[in-house]
Amino acid sequence: MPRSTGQTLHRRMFIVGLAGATGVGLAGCIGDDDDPDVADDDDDDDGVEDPPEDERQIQPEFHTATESEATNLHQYHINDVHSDFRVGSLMDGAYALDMDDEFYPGWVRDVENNDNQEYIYTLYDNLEFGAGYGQMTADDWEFHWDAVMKQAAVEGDNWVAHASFSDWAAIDTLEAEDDTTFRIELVEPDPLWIQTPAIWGEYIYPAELVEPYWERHQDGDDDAGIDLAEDEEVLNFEYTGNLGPYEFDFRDPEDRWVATRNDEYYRRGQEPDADLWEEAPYFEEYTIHTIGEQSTRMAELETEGLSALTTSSPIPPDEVPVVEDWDHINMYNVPSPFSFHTSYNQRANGWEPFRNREVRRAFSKVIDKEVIANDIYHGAAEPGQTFQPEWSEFFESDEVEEFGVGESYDPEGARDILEEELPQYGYEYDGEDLLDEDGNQVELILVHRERHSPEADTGVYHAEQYENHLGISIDREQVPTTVFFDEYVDQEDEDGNLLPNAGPRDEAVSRRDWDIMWSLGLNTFPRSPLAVDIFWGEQAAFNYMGWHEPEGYRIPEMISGVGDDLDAMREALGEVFGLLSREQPVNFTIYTFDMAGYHETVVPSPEEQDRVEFGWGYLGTTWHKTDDPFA
Amino acid sequence: MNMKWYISRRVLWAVFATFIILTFTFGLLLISPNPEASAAAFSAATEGGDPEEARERVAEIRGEDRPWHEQYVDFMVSMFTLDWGNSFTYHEPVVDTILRAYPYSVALVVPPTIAAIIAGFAIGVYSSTHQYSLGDFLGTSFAFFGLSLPNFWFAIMLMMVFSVYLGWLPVRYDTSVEFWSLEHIRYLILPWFVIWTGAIASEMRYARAETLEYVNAAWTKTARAKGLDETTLTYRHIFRPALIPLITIVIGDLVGIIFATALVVEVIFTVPGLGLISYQALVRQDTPLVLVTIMIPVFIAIIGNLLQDVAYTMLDPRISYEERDA
Repeated sequence: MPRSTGQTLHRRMFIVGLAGATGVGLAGCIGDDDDPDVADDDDDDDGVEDPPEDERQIQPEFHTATESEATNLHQYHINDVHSDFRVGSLMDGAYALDMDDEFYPGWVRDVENNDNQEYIYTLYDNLEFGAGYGQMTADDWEFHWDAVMKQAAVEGDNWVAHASFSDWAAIDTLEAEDDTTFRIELVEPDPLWIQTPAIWGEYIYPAELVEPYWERHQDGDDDAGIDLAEDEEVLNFEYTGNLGPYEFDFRDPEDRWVATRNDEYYRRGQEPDADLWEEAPYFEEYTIHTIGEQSTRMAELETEGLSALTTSSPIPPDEVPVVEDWDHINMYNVPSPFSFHTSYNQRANGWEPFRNREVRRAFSKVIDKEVIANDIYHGAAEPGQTFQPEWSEFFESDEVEEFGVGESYDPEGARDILEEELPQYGYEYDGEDLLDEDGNQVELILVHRERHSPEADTGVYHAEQYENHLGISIDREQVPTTVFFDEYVDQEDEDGNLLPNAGPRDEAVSRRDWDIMWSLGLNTFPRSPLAVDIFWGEQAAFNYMGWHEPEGYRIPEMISGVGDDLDAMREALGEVFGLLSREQPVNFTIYTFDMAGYHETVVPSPEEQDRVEFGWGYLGTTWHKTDDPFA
Repeated sequence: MNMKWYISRRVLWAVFATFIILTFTFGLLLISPNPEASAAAFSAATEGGDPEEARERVAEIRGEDRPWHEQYVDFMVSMFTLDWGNSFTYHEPVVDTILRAYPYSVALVVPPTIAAIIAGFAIGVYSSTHQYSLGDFLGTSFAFFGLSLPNFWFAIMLMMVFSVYLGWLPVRYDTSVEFWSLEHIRYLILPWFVIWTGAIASEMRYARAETLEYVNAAWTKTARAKGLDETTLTYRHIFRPALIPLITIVIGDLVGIIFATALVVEVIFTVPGLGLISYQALVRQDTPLVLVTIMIPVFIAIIGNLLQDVAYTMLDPRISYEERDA
């Protein structure tokens, strides 16, 4: 999914961790391990209980900031990271995934996998909704399935306007076994079901709260779903009870969100890691400020007005060199699953030679990805080679062909390829310039967004490389995000709907012409990438660039039939990602990092001090501060 | 036409003009791409969902799935019956959002505007009575320096110098500070200064231009010849006659600051005032909030113009609407 707006993100992206005090959805760290002010919890070798109790004191305040206000308070409507960041402080969700992509308890304390098709979920027995709704039981989950998710995902009746339900279509039945146990039967076996963002990270309401609206809807009241969204108990979070580390206090729009420590938090002292959770959370008050202006956010971080800038509003890449010099800030370089592409338009309004894979490969050879990652993004990115980051277990290096790194950055080789391939389209080189049949220099349109300066600088870099090494004139268009999507990425189908793949590439074209597109970022879902066929292939829903698989290859067929055999799945996906790297439907230019900055007094959990990988931050609620600079 | 009739017609015109502007704004919002819907559709596409269904979901939540004329009638009725509905973004009545933001905007804008009027007039009068002197050049330069500085850049520079490097003042505004307190002023000094420097030039130029007309007037020369001291001369024979046109500017400014906003300053110093709220409403296409935040200033601006005209008649007996045809 596009990271593009900076606002709307797929749930797969932002529910990487439990709702944590110090940062929901964090991952990855290059923290200063030697910092004497950061608690050294690595005392296991000494037999000392880890961490020492006196270091894990409850401090008065934690302050962080996001660039935008929460726009959704109703959990069914949340599809933006800023809303989830706030609501996540009040609600843990079903469970999290750790840095090994393994289940880590939330409300669900255990999951049992029976033959990859039947999953048994066991809830903690001390979960309590607020507003007198009583214990969260398996019946609440069964109701959630029957009345909400099944309606949306299976029956096509999304009466509550739920923002994210498609993964629930894999469920055949969800039934309560007893108060704390519910059983899910999948339509087909899936060994990666636990890593699929259906139950993972899901929030639910008490059945009793939703039930009256559900009955109204069944009686034909079309406004029932909208009225649920405006229910005072929903908007004021009265139902959250002991289900999250904090209780909602108040919010001032465009200013702050304030939550206070939940004295009844269900997770306190529970296994696993009971010692870490003993008094969690470790802050009396948790404040998320809304600070839209980047300079102001950075100034607040510099002057210790904030405890942290988390991955929800990370440090911009162009500020990284500055923050590196701040002694009081530990910067955490968090791997991201987002692949940022340079796309080649193979639809009818694109440059015809881009339908030739050799031409696409030549264009990819003139972009030095290390320059972009190191010099433009200041280390907040790494070169990408296919639709899977190198750290993914589904990345098979033997299958992947590299472009734009080391010797594979080859402008001269690229020029040779074009000299050989382009005459068939009526283009020839005259000296340094590539000319069309009329003798005019070829001009291509490069479009990209205007989100932040590294993104714009990378657009400029692309234009310079094509002009200097391929003799092509570039008309660079920098556009706002909405225009980028609606006018360039999407096409209009015959009913007037805007879709990323509205039809055959010779018929469906974007409203505005483009040839090369930089800056679209897609989530590669490294934990469960079987949905790759959504993005790539002639029929893929997201095939905005009009790429066709080569003869003899069909991506849906390549990944079909792997069943629940994880090894077969790895092999099939490895071949798909290899094919994509060779074919270069797009240049998989970079994978970004989210640069989070924490005050030196903020102490991550012991594991997250020692190890930094995708999923880092899943223990965020157990983090503490050694001192309170705000006191 | 008597004054009552004239005022009645102007008020009716204010209502009609507001209606036209609201209609125009509604039309613009209707044809503009909705970023929330686009983002939701994109999100759905990438998870294998139906992008169009996602667009429809957003439209349904906002009540935008109905025919445009139904939406239009609903909005217009709600605007003119003062039942302004809920903000899509903040999930509360639009009135609550505006009432919460209003005091912040007033605290931010009123003091520097009044200070700009006083200082601008003072500099303007001094410049006109000391035309082409060093003081005139310095005053004019200062005023234009303030006008020419981009607010955005100037605000960030002030923040960097006085908040980050010197640590004398807070980086940004803090709503948790007691409103009626000296501490609150500390938080407002930098925003005030930015607004003040931006506003002073226009006041100064008006004052200078208007008073210049009277610096060499016959009565001024006569008074000076009679030995009147310069301070009295300036006040009585130069500033007072110039006050009639200037007072209309002052009234316009005062009416303006009732609903004035300072968007750039509010964004940089994170003051959750009306400017920021209106801007975010526009960006997010929060139609009820957009329409209300446009309707009120438009209405006030038109009424402000009316008050200016009425003030003319009160201050200058030569001006009368009694004999006007229309």
